[in-house]
Amino acid sequence: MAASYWDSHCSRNLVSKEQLECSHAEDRLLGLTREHIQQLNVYFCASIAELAKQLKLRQRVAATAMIYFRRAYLCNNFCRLDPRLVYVACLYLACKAEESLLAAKHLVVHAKNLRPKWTYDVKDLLDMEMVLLEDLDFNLIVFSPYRELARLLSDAGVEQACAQRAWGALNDSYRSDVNLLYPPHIVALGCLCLAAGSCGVDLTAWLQRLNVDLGQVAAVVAELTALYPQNSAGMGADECHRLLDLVGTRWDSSASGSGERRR
Amino acid sequence: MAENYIRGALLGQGTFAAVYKGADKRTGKEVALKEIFPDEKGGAEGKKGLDPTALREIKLLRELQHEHIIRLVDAYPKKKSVVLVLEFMHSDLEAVIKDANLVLSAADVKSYMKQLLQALAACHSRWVLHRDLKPNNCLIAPDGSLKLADFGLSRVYGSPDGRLTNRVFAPWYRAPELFFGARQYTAVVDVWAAGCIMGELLLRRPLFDGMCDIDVLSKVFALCGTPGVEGNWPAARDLPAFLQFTETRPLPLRQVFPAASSDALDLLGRMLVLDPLKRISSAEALRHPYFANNPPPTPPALLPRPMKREDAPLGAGAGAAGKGRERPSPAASPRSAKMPRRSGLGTASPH
Ligand SMILES: Nc1ncnc2c1ncn2[C@@H]1O[C@H](COP(=O)(O)OP(=O)(O)O)[C@@H](O)[C@H]1O
Ligand SMILES: [Mg+2]
Repeated sequence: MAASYWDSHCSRNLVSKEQLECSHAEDRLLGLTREHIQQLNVYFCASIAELAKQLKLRQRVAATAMIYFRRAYLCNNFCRLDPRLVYVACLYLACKAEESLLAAKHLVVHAKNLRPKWTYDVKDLLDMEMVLLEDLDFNLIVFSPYRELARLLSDAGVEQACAQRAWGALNDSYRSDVNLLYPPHIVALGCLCLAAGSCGVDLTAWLQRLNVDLGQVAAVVAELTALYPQNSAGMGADECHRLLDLVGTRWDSSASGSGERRR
Repeated sequence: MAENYIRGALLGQGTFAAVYKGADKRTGKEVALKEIFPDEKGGAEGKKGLDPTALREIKLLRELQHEHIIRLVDAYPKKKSVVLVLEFMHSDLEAVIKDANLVLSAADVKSYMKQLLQALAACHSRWVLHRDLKPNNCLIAPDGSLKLADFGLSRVYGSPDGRLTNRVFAPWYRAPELFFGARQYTAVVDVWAAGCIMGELLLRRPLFDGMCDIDVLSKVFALCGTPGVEGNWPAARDLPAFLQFTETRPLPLRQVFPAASSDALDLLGRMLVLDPLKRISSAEALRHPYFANNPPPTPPALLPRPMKREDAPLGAGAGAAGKGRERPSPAASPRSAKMPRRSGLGTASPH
């Protein structure tokens, strides 16, 4: 496999810090703070993971869905496009894109099961699929760092405990922005470095043999480290509903012309 | 955006889409509009959303950008489905092969094969299998060059879970390991189909045009010999749907293609190797001396031109060169997942 290819692919789909900074402008006008938005992102990515687990989907499908979710809100606002529907639609689309087909009806049943207050139906889900496709600009291939991390772990030959931590860090990485900002092999490497640091494993010699931008790796490690202090403060469903009620979101397929939703 | 395109005449119809001629209102440029049929099984409610086949095609075309792969210019939703805006193509390789008025020189065949293998190598280097290679999915651009199209059955392989469906390819172009039920095949399934196309370009008729799976296989073995003979692909026996045919030895290709050059036949022989592990890869095939030797491949602009699609709409039934043999509706087998493809194959022993 040509590394340059992955690089070019990945950079095409990466976003800049500036892009992230100016997203959710309308939501912020309506009173959500950046912290609220961050918490909501974490909440919905966790919901994707939960729903995927309930449906026994592969990790990779969930990872793709989370990236779709984040990318969808680069040009959208929670107040215009209800994330409670979007996160389920992201999972539905990711199932198709990752060849793990799932009936929409089935998914709707599970979504209701997971969040009893969930009020949407199959039609809403399928309408949202179309909206998502367009907002993602039909860009559906996501290379996640999972395969990359497996390769790095066997190459570096670290012990089991350290590997375990690295996998944990990677799962957590979806609560941050690193998977939008950096290519998969850099994220994987960041997770490994973080794990090595906390297990007291010295990877310096091994790292020097790799031909990568260590500045980027360090940036990933910094972002991941910043996750941990706020770790416990996960948002509950009630707080989520309260915030979304604040911006008054509700998806109504008949009312929204496609141009109107956008910024 | 839908408003940007005008829709014109129907160009062709496939299993899951209708393709119309169109034009970009902003530039006046010709395009093809591939309108995916909304999922009929879901009824008016559209219970399933966008057809996974369409999604696959969009996903991969969005990724693959290559001189010999059809370009996805744009895409937009329309009535519960999606329209793919593709660059407009004049014709396809099936029309070229069937057009009795066209003479294909050795250099022309080399040119088509080179373009086709370049497209395949680009797919394979990105871990994409096409899985529906056949002459009418090789389109001919207005500038004469070949572009690989119809990625509805293609997919990214090498995923850890590995198992793939063997119900791919039109039977005439399906590699023997697929007939025998292999679920962990590789990119060389596309190379087999490319070999079939090369043979078809040389013969001007399909190489293995059997009436059913068994018939196709027996034609394959009549040319390539049965598995097991002379150490030819002994591992075939371990495949789930292996069938023992009456033993035959391979036929010298020279006998079937008396006019072809020996370097052409050497390459063809390497693409049509039964054992997938010994079959040449698309990248290796491009490095075969055949492509460096004389005559050089014809530049695309000088390739013979089949009749334009508009003048002979393929969707209407009549092929560009009048009626050829009826092809068994090929895409039907891999795509209508309901029909068990190998019914009969297990019971009727051809032995
Ligand atoms: N870009 C194009 N330009 C002109 N005609 C096309 C184009 N793409 C497809 N067609 C025509 O439409 C037919 C069906 O398209 P195809 O992509 O093969 O769909 P299917 O997957 O349904 O077979 C083709 O055989 C061809 O005749
Ligand atoms: Mg086709």
